[in-house]
Amino acid sequence: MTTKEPLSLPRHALPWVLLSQSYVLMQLVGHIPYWIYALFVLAVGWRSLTHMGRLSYPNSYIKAVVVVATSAAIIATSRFDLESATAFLVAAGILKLLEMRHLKDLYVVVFLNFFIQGIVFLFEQSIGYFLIALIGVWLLISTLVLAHYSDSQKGRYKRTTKMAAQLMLLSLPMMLVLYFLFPRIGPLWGLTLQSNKALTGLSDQMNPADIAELSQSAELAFRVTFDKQGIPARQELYWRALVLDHYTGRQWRAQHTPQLQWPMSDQEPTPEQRSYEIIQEATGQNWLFSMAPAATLERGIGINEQGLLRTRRPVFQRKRYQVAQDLTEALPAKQLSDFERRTYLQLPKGYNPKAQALAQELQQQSATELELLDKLMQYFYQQEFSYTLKPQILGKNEIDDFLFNTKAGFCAHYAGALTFMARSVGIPARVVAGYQGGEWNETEQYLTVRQYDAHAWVEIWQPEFGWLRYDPTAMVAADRIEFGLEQALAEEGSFMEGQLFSMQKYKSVAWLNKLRISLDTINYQWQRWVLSYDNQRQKGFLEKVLGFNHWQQSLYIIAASFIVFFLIASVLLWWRLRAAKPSPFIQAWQKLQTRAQKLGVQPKTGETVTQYCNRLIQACPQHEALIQSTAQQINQWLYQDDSPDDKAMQEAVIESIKHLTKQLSVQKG
Amino acid sequence: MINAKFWQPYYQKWLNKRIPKTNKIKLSHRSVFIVPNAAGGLYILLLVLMLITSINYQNNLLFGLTFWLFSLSLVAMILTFRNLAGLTVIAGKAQPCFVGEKSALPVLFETSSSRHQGIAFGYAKDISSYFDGNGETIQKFLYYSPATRGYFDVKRMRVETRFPLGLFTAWSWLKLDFSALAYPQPEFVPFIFSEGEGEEHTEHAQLTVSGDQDFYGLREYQPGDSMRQIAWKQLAKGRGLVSKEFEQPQANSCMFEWDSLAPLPVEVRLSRLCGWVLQAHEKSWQYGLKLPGVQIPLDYGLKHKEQCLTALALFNGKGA
Repeated sequence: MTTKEPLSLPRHALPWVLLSQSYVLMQLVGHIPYWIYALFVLAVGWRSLTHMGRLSYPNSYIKAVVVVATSAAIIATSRFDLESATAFLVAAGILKLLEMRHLKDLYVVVFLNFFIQGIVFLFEQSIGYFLIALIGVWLLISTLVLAHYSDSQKGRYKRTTKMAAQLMLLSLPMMLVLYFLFPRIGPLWGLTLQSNKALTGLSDQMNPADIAELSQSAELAFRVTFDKQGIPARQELYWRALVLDHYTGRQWRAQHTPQLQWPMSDQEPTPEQRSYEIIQEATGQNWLFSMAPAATLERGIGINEQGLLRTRRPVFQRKRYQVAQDLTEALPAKQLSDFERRTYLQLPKGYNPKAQALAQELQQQSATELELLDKLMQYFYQQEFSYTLKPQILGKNEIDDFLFNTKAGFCAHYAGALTFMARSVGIPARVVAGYQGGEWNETEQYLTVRQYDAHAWVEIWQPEFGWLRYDPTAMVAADRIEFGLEQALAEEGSFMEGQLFSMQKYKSVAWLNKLRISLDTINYQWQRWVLSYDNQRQKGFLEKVLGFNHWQQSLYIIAASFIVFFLIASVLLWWRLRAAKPSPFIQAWQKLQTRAQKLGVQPKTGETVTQYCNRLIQACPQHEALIQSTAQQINQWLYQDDSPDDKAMQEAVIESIKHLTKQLSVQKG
Repeated sequence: MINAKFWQPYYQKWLNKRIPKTNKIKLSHRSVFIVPNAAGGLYILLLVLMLITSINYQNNLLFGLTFWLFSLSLVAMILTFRNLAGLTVIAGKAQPCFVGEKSALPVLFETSSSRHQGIAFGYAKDISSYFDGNGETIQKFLYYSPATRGYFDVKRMRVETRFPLGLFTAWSWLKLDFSALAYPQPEFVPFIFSEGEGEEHTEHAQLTVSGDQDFYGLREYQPGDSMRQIAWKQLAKGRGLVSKEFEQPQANSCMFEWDSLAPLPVEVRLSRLCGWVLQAHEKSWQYGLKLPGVQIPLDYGLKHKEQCLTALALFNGKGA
């Protein structure tokens, strides 16, 4: 139907293609290899020279070489992950620039960039990046709009960008309907490419060095909001993630993977439970955070024998979930099995003889295990231990070295030492890794837990009570538990050392701290309402806000909104297309013509008033004088120079036309 | 097999009913069609890919962007339609021409108060002219070379737009009525003079018009005066366009007759008559035309020539 030769690329659109593409690619800095940017600069340069007529398009030989070389470079420099897939996509968009000569090539480039702009969200989801991406989308839409203006438009850039913004705003309502109501189904297939970027967080092997490193990071770990039961005392905020049951002599690790139990359906918390909601950052692991004793409320979250929560899939996207904590003092359900007893008493042979001797000595002074544990805890308090993030390097028997020689360390050292000593005298014990404390936002009522809140403590088995929590760090640095890491390190000054520009560092500057907290609040709301809106949240939203009990109902609403959308559009179109009311002069003239039509005088296009009137005279010569005078009057009024009595003249003209019309009617009658 | 050719007559019939021939049409839902084009198809593919990606990564921002781009296409559809609807297309005053010549047909696009951007128009296979209108009336030309004499029968003209995003094509097929005439293709052959009948036919003595006519005087130039009549010397002296008038050239009057070309087919006769009319006009003769049912008396001038040519163009073979 249309032309055989494809439509050519509008010249004025090219700079915008390059601009919008640069803008989109800029957002991927750090995620794709840097040489891709060099390739981009080359392609832009070449295409611009082609645009100016200095260089021809690359021939197919050059194109083939570039494509092969680029693909080889990407394959050689990266693994099969999200980054390399993105690099491929970006490279495709860049190379397409070199052969962009038709309008259809522009569509391919712009659409690819839309996709890349979407891919950026797989790497970055903060509110800042969202705003940056909005501008990217706006630029891309502008490019499309510009390509459809003809070349001769003046002031088209302003009009184009305005048009693009209008388009975005007009499509916003429909987008929101779809966003909230479109059924959120689970992933279509399990294997999706994931980013190779190392995620900060706990690991299932505890090296003291790891925790020291985490302590330097202010990255967000998770945020918590509590139900009406409120937040527990700060000393109770122990967020459990991992149980490290196996000691190798150098490190503690999670060896034993206990059985998981999955709830059959979603549950509401009972009145004896404190429920809280966690929005957790991606960890790349399948463990979740909870306070003991935890209960799972969601179908997708299992709980194991150690009371830890797990998901089926590793958490690669921010996850929002609800957990309950039993508030009743329940008796331990069962005793340890032989296997468990063996696991929690495991020790490597021949390590730390001095620590074992100390434990045995204290055991002989104690009547019960509880008394012994008290004595062990007291030991940390009485001896001059100090809390530091910069401990000295320990020898082969590191617990001995730590207890009797350096006497300085942080949570991992204390927890490891206590567990070791308890196990050495036959008391089942385990190291628990997770986070402790957090920062409470009073106005918005939520708790922020950051990586530097990472902590390790001890759980000890007592047949009468079950697993009891012992935190030897509290004996050494009570501030760490009561006020957080910053206070604990106030003297040493090593809090966020080397992170000169971290806002966490300047909590003492009042306005900076206020700003930091407001920014954090915005981010929190962003995560809570936008980023963590998933299947579960959608169900809640549909049930509570819209009163739906079946997801199909949302499809009806979507269908209804389509109808409403098109109805509104039709009404607006109809409104626009209504014939504008002609001026009184034209109205009178048209009436005259309709009248004259009955006398056999058909109006012709491109006819002047005089020509028409002459024909009218031929049709009814008896009115010659009247018609002629009217024609003269009209011409005089139409072709006069601007005169002050224009209005009066117009009225007179209209009167004459009306009079003539009447005369013609009389004649007919 | 049923193919496009089979449907063509039905389609044309339907189209003629839906968008009849007219000299002025305001495009509306009746006359504007809209479908997603190839770029629209590519866009749908993009949306599907984005949706799959957002589902697999459970990424809300990507979901949002996907839905936004989808809604954008709906809005774009409305705007593409709106961009064409409301445009008034008017057939301008076209000049008559001879069969075989090319005539420029003025098409007026009245963009009313609203904006109409990136509008293309042309015949089906040749849509190349683009314009933007911001409330003014724009004149463009459509080229037409008539294949047969009579009123112009211009093919349907396509007006289309892809503005703003190029995802949809909105178009209309317009049959504009230019009501201009195509005269028969002139064939220049020597005059044939019929014998006998008397003075109103021809006096063949002075066939070649030359300077030996009697000069009578000068008068104001009138449209239709032939080139040889113009007093070039006067013009060169800066006295404006002035025509030489000759003494009534009795001899140079002739009547062109249908019957004098007796055995020839209709169209050939018309072509030759047309050629004679043109030659006679060029030579500033007085001439008349005698067709079955039509008789145009001896006269000269531009208006007279047009009258004769019109009669030839509209000749329908039988007496009126």
